[in-house]
Amino acid sequence: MKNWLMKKPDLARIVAVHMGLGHLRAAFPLRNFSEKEIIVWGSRHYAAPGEKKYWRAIRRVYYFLSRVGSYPLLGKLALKIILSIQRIPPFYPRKDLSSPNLAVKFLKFLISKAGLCRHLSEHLSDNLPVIHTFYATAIALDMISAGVPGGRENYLLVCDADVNRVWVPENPVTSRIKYLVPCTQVKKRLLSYGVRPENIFMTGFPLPTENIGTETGLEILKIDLLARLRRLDPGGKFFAYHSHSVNHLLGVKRIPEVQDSHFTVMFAIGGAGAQTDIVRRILRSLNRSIQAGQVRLLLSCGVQRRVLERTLKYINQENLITHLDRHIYLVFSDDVFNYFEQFNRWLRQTDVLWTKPSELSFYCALGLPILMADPIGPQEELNKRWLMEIHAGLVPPGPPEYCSEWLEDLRENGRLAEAAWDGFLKSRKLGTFKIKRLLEQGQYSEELSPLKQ
Amino acid sequence: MKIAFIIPLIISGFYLVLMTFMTVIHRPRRSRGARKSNHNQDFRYPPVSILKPIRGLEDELEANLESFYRLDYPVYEILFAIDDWQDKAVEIIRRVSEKYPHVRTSILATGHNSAENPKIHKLDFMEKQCYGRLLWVADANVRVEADTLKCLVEEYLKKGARVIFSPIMGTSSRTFASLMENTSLNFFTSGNVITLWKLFSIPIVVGKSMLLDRLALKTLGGFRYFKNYLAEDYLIGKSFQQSGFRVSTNCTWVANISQRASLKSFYRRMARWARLRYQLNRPAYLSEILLNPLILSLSGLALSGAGFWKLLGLVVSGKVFLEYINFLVVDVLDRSRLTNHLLFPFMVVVKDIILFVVYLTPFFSTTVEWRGGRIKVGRNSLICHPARYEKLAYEEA
Repeated sequence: MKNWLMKKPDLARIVAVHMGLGHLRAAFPLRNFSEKEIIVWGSRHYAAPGEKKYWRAIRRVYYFLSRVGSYPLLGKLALKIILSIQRIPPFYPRKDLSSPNLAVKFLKFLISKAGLCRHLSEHLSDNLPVIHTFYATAIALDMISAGVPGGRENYLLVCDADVNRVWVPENPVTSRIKYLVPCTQVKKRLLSYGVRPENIFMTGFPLPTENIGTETGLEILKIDLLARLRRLDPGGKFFAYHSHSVNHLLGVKRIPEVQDSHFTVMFAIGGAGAQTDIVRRILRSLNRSIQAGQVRLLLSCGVQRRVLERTLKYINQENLITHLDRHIYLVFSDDVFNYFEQFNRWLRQTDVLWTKPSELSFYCALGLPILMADPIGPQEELNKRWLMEIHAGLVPPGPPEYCSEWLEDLRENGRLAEAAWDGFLKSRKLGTFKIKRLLEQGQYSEELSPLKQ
Repeated sequence: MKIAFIIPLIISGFYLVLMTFMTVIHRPRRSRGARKSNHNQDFRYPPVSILKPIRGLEDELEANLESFYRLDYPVYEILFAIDDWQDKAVEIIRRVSEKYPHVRTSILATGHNSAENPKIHKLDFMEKQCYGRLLWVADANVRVEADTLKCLVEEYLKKGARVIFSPIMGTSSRTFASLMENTSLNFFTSGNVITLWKLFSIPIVVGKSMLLDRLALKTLGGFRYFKNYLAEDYLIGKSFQQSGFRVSTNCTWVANISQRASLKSFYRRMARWARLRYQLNRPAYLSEILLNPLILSLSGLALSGAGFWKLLGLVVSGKVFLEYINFLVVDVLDRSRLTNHLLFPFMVVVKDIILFVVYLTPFFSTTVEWRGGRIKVGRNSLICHPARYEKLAYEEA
């Protein structure tokens, strides 16, 4: 129930763009930092009429590019060309990467000549700090306020484990953008791009507090994780190695007995719907397990109707429609924020998150083992690398049509439970709280303890 | 230059003849007795909830409602949704329902939500209150035969169809405009419904009557899935089909009673439908001009000169002939009135000219008037409201 006595703090304005779900998902946990709703720049209700069309075109191109790889021959070729443009240069050998690339210059042209985000500063009438989840809006505001003394603070929240040079303005030394970064690699990368160290805050990716609990207690996270670990380790292999650390970090005296025989897999179809075809293969493989009630399948369809309808079509084709809302659940809403709410709720019951390594990679901090679908784009390749480095992500050992076999094996040998535990230990989970404290008190600290990161 | 008009005219003529032929084949059947005997008695008919969103007094509302109370069907209930209890239809609903106490009747005052499709708003309310496994959505001006529901349900039982739609028979004309409206419904709307389905398996679901499987609807999240869109009927058909559910028709006609339409109301209704069709499928909409050969030949006359006079005469008489066949075969009630026969050729010409004006309206305006409100529509008939905060409803339905 809404507590009318409590008023939302007005700490910042949150600006996101609708370019897939990643930038919006990053903004969603921060929604309570502002009295106003999240500003989705370029959507129907935010942005000047001319700019709306522009953003819509960009969005369409984005969705096309996300799907182009699934088209045979020419699609694959087009994808390769696109990926080469988006390329993130190798980090080693370490070198100065501060000189702007073509993308930076093009973005500068769009902002200064084509008027991209021209009206954003007018829309933000007050002087509160702004948290951006997309580089273009942050860089545009930074350019507009360049040379003006004082002015508002611009925070740019990085949504991947490595970034292209385009996230940093042409002249990073004079830029006043402050970066909120999810992991060490991004910090190092930004330094190589010439961003000043005092403008980088390694807060971690903001995660939904409804899946965490309080900053000091992590109550919800701990309860969910313990139950998940039990379901993911029916043979007890994981607990044979890790029971002491689990007891210690989760604050339990005794590991409870397994109660649920089933386990729950969530497959997240990307915002562009590029992974819809995998759904058919998963359903075919898991058909018997679903009918027997051994596996619950959550299919996260996002906000696109054609994705939902195609998913339903596959369920129909596999004669599983009667299992809908019993052993198969669809996570869908027309409204993107409503969808995130549903998604976060279902995450609490999820044992394995099967997704391409997008911004959802950072959700491994909630103790979710990530099964990685094929990445799209260089940033997702690097997210995948990061997940593997911290052992929170697993590459599926076989094709999706045999997932019933290999999922059972991964569960039996405790690999999924290990990935869940490693994600919890090694990934930052308190991003939302740390960003809030930074805004409220200007304080920021980096911790080593897994419970304080 | 001439050839540029003659080729479209040939295509147009071919399609219109085909459409008339298909309508004649699948015309409303007369012999109710013979139809009854066809019903397989072994079928176990599932309970049906009839959902009737109502606003104000429609032509012959009482008789229309009574036809639903006289259905030959084992178990069904009727739910009415009105805006508020001041609606004049309430009295008529009560009067009719009291005459047939064996049929469970519920009247719900749902209010009016201007932010969403008003019909979906009502249907969603009713869906929550009903018990039927099947939902039959029927407009207030729809009249049915006693065996209509059984015929529709047979399609569900035999073919596993999850949406069963119907061709619409516009009838009961008492004014010139209502004759135009009914003829347009019978020739253009129902002709296309039948032809596109029978030849190309393209379902054109018309919201005046559609039978839905409730479980299938639930997989999409219920009626609310369509709340942001004005052309809910078309999108229901499309979404169900794309979701792997069978959408079908066995050409069980339902009657649409339009007695006293005025020229203004005819124009408004047609313009609303035109705007929606334009937003739903633009290439298909643009090709609709082919269904108006009168305008094609008039354009030819204007651009190519006197050589087109003969062709124009031929086109007009051909079009009148085809529509007249349709009139004789489909519109059983209206063909008994001599005035309708006398007015018919003139009516067809006037109608086609008005329909050309209607055809142009979507290019200049995207606002439709419906159920007491003015609604701006976007792609796929998305309802565009200025909102205070972001609701990312997708236009790519």
